[in-house]
Amino acid sequence: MEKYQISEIYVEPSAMERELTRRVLSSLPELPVYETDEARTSPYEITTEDIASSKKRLYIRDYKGEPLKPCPGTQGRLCCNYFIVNLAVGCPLDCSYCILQHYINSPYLTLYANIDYFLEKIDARLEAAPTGRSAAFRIGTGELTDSLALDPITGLSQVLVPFFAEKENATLELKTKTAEVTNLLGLEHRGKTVVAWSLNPQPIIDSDEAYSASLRERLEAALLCQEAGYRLAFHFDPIVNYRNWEQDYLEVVEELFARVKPENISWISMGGLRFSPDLKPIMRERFPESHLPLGELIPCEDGKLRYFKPIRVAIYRSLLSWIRGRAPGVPVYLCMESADVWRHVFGRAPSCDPKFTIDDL
Amino acid sequence: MMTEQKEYREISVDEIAGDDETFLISYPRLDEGLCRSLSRVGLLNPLLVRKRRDDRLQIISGFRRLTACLENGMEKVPALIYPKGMDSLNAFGLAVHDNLSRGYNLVEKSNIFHKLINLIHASHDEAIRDYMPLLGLNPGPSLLHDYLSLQNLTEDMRYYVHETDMPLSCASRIASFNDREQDTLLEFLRPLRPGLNRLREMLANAEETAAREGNDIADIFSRKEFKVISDSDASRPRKLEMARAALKKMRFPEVSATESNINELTKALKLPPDITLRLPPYLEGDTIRAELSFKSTDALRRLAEKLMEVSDLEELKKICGLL
Ligand code: SF4
Repeated sequence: MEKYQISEIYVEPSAMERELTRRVLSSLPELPVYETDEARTSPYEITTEDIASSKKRLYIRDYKGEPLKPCPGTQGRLCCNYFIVNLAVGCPLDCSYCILQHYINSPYLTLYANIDYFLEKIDARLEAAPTGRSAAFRIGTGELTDSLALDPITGLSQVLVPFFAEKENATLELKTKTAEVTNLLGLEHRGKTVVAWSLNPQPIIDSDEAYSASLRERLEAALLCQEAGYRLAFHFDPIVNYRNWEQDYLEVVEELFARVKPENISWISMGGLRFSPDLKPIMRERFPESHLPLGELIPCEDGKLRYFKPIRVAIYRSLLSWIRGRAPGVPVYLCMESADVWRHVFGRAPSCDPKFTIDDL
Repeated sequence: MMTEQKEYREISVDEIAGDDETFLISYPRLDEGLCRSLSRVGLLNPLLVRKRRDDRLQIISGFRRLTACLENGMEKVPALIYPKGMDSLNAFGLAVHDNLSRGYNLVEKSNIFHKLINLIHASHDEAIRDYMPLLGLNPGPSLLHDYLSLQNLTEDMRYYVHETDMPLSCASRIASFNDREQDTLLEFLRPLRPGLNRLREMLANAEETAAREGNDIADIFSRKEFKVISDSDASRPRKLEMARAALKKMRFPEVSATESNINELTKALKLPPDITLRLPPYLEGDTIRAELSFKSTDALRRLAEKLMEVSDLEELKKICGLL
């Protein structure tokens, strides 16, 4: 994996003395650092050049809002009762289908330095929650970034994993397309951190997941985490429909179970390629070689483009049968799919309540 | 510093450097309405010209007026003559302001930005900050980029864009095609004259099919499907729909195959015209709606019986199985 493209660091004065800032600056000593109250923002709309810049300019600052948010899910789709903590907005990886290209409103990769603030707020939220199965929080840090891509320079996992190890009613999910697990290996996690990988066949990684780790590297990293006693999860997401999908995804499943023991897997999700129509021109401009926007993607009720339903259902069914054939007991769920697709794939939808938990599967 | 003053006088058309199009913004240059009005009431607004170093007169604003005067056989035209020392940025500003009240079309706006940046050497930021609001546009680099891209339109396509009042989003998309692609596309568009939504959809489908197959747009529009449509006796709207369906089939082969399968299955149900089955768009949903039209309870009963009858048919089960 090629390392980061980061070439400049901007730091808000209030964040200058924070532990995380010091750690980042000492990890990247060769880069110029600018102390600034307000990093330059474009007065106009964000352009594709700004998106490219956001991979190169790191902006370290303090966060002031509500740190724990329910996953936004999507209209008419079943949602998996997931919460997110955004410790960073922006990502050093550069996937062609990344929704950040459309959401992003600043030409920076923003990293929040006031970690104590996040932890205090999360603590208070977890303590106030009623106990019991339905109150269990599944919390992820990988909605607006890759959870581990910056870990070698931030060391955040060394704070988060021990923090969640103490929590009875919460599980942390670190979702990644990298192999950056070195910091995780010696930590006391008490089974409260799940390390998760997004998986795709190597041809898709090569064409559409720039700066990410190869499939083999991801699975080797998963093996290391398995040996360190972590619970694991895997996301076949986004699943891409292309000429060799059947053979290639089957190979991914085979390679996965050649290394990872099913009993160490907490869950596996499947989600077809989907994106808002506004992302399409950005993808076409930034990744003209990518075939992803050229698939048979049709507009769905929630406004997103997805593969035509019979295509999605056929892929999900195949993938599910390959997974079930090797790991019958592992919970498998669909990400952002409608109840009728669930029924086609699983024979039933998980619950009438559009919010279900992993235990409902 | 300007030392000479501007002067107002009648000038001979021979004094004008007619081939100097430095400040030409107007498109198209020939304005039939202006020609007619000029023949009735004469030229009401003088040309704005600047003296060149060789003492010939360079038009700052009034190209269309001059063309109309020449069409009407006039040899002298009133003009406001600016001195040699007037700098090009000011002259260009004058040219833009002089016609601002009539409003600029898409091609003219493109000409303004193109000249501003390439001839006057204004920066992109200056164009965005000073000229986009002046032209009533939301300032921003991507909009500026789209306007500038229109310079890549072929002359014929530029005229088609103008005459059909094509929106910028479509015109700039077409501007990304090479000349051969634009020529083939134009041959396809001219007889069909699609409205905005149809044009948008057909362009996207053609472009994406071409990209997926590694072809160019010209290859797509040269296919025999379109030749058959254009040679048919169908009406223009019918041809347009046929062309649209052909493009959709190329871009979405599975969706199209499923749709024609559903059509076949529905036909086999032999439903009377007062029963319509409505499937969710693109099969995204699990409910079919049956729409009944009737005027009496007897008619409703007959429709209900027909529905009961088709509910046992294999074809209907197959349709339900697709949801
Ligand atoms: S890893 Fe995730 S956040 Fe990062 S670029 Fe890829 S899709 Fe976007």
